[in-house]
Amino acid sequence: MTKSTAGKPKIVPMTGAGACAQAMRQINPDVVAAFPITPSTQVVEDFSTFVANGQVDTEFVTVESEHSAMSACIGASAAGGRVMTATSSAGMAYMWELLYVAASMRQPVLMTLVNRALTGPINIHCDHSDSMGARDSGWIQLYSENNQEAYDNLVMAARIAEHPDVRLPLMVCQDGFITSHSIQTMQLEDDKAVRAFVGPHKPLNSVLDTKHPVTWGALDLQDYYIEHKRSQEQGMRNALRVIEEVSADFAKTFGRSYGLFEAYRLDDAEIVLVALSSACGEIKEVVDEMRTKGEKVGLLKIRSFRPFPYAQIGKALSKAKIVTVLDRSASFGAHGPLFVEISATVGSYTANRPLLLGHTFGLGGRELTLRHIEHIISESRICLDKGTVGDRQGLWINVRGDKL
Amino acid sequence: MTKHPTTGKLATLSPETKQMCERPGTFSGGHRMCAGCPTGIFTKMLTRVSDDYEIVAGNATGCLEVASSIFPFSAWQIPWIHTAFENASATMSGVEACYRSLVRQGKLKKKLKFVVMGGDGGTYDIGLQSLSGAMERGHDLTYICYDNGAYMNTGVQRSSATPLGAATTTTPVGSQSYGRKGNRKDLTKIMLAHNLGYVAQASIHDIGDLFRKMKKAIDHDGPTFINLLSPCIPGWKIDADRAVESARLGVDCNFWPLFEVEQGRFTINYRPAPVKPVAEWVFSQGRFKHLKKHPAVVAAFQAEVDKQWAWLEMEEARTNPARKS
Amino acid sequence: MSDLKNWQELPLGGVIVEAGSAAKYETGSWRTWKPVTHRENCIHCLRCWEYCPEDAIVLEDGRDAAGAPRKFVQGVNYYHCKGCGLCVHECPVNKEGKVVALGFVRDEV
Repeated sequence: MTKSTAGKPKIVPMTGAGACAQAMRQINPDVVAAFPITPSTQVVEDFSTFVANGQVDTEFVTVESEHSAMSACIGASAAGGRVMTATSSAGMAYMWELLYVAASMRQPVLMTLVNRALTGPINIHCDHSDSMGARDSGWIQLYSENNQEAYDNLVMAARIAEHPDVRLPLMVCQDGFITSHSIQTMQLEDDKAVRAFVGPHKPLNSVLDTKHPVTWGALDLQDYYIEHKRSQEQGMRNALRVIEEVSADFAKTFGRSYGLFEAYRLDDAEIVLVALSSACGEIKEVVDEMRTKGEKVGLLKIRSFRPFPYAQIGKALSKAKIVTVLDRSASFGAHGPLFVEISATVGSYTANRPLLLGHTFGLGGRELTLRHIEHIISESRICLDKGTVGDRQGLWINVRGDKL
Repeated sequence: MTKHPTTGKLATLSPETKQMCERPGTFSGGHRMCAGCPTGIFTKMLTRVSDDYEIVAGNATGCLEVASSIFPFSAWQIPWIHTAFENASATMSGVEACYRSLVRQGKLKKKLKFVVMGGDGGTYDIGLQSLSGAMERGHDLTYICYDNGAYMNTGVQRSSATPLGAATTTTPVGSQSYGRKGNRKDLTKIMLAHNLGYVAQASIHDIGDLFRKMKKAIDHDGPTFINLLSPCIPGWKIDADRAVESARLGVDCNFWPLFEVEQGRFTINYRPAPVKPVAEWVFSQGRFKHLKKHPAVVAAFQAEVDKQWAWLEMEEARTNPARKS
Repeated sequence: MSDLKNWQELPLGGVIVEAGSAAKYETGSWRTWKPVTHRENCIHCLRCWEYCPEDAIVLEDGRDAAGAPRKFVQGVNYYHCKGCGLCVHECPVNKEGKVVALGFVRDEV
């Protein structure tokens, strides 16, 4: 139990989805507009019971599609409200057009994104294809290893997204079923403490302000579009600083520390694994195991994928000799998105030139076991000793028909 | 106040005209709609229908939205929001939900009403889902569709509202084609199935009728819908000064009956006498001129108009027996 | 038309904070023909004002014969008038065919 300086927290067993619903209840947004899709459904269902029992002031709009969900979220945010939603996979894909609109209109909509594979074939299990498909949309993307992190990230989300130097929408990602549906014990903070931490929402150019009427969603010609986008980009650049500031305040208030990434046994690591989300739990266990056998291995667990902290990660990788990146989504015909970002980091933000090795794993909920991780690490050591990654580059892990 | 020299006669202003001219407007000049586009006729009315509330407006992507909001110029003198093409109703649902939330929390006290506008493209077709959803959920908003019978903003492509036989860029006239095949969809009927408190058909040529209907629709607490006949100068291939006349003729041949339905009770607001043949309206527009070679299509068009009018008279007789024709 | 602003000077999100700023944009340069009022024949029915899509018919306050306040047509705002001719075509005095209350003349190029 971490020490909170505010109020009385509770240790509870809860699913990741349930934890996010609790965070939403505590944040008490003005509007929630959402459409159900597995495996994010519990977030919306739990929240519905809070609405039905008068535990929140939220106006809950049961929209008829995810595209309408994001539309209503943008409308409600432009009307000066604090707005939240949740979705996965095809739901995110359906609202894809509007993710860009939310970001460019600088509406700090907050989303729980329960990661699930994009169709096809249709699959309800975990991979990161949905959030990766949205990585250019202008949303801040924070990844959560477990239920506690998902909850903590959502509690921090409003302060990050609504910061006047940022004002961008934010999605907190957690792995579908693995995190969303598994019951883990976690610390649920006190309602009043969360509310005090999150603070009030400040409307900006509200469309309900008839005394100062504004026009939202104007058309830009060639003379203004790129300036508006440059302004949007600045919000993202500022978010790197703001995420750290809000996380520091969170640590002071609730006792749990988060950065832009977690450096796990990285100081003297020659082999560094890079990954997102729940797989990191397993990886940490294998890292510890192999450390006892003398292997100098560590994990770089990335929390903020957007904005991507190139300079900071570059520093963290400054001693690495081989960096093995595990992508839980595919960019067909190219390297995975995480591998591409790490390559950019190593290319421009480090003085050292470690070997770079990328793998794809876990699509559609395919398991990554401790044994697989151990194999990846030992094969990385072999590559390092050979001085080349050879034909292991781009290997998909645990696929029947391909070597391991 | 000075008296002005006149012919000796001063027109008597209708109550609607009086109300309109005494109140401040919504929509400035300097927008980029085509010369003669009649959408500026109905946007002028938005803030003038009532003193009891203020209006927040929104649009689907389309001619009116684009021409009124080219950064940094906005013709809107009231709060206005546009996000995308198919979701104007969903966007405003969110605005309205936030308004309800803030009022309920005691954070906002003024009375606001919400008006969404879209062309037939953003309403009948790509926007139908979000319109249906918003109407079904019971938001306090009024949807006004300005129906010009095609996707005009992208260059006159056919929509489900395009009348039979019309030439559009996706139903062009050719050796194998007489233009749009099949009858248009009746969106007003679809809206009637949503249990709305008020549904109406109006036209930009009849100011008094339109003003009255906009007031009724916006005054009403709950979702309401107005379908508005709104000719398009380049799309219909008519002269720039003919939008009003063309709408009048479209109503006078019963192509676009003026009626309203309040809690399921039909009232036909105008019965043309005499009823003009549809051909007169059709051949006043360049988009139909090729139909001179397809009299069977014109006959089919007339038959469809007659059928829909008969249905309307039947509904009025059934639901509003007190109404004398 | 406007001084083009740098990105730092723009309000967030592409919002236009000045309502009705389109009034600054001159659409009057579009026209080739223009309406001209003949106030001596005008019955001030305000039909032209109701139908003008550009809000280019200017009204003014006055009094009717009984002294009651009422709006009158003052003239045309040529900064915005696009010369579509709707006002001229729909004017009820023009339609009677005896005199002209709204003329339509070729505009100077």
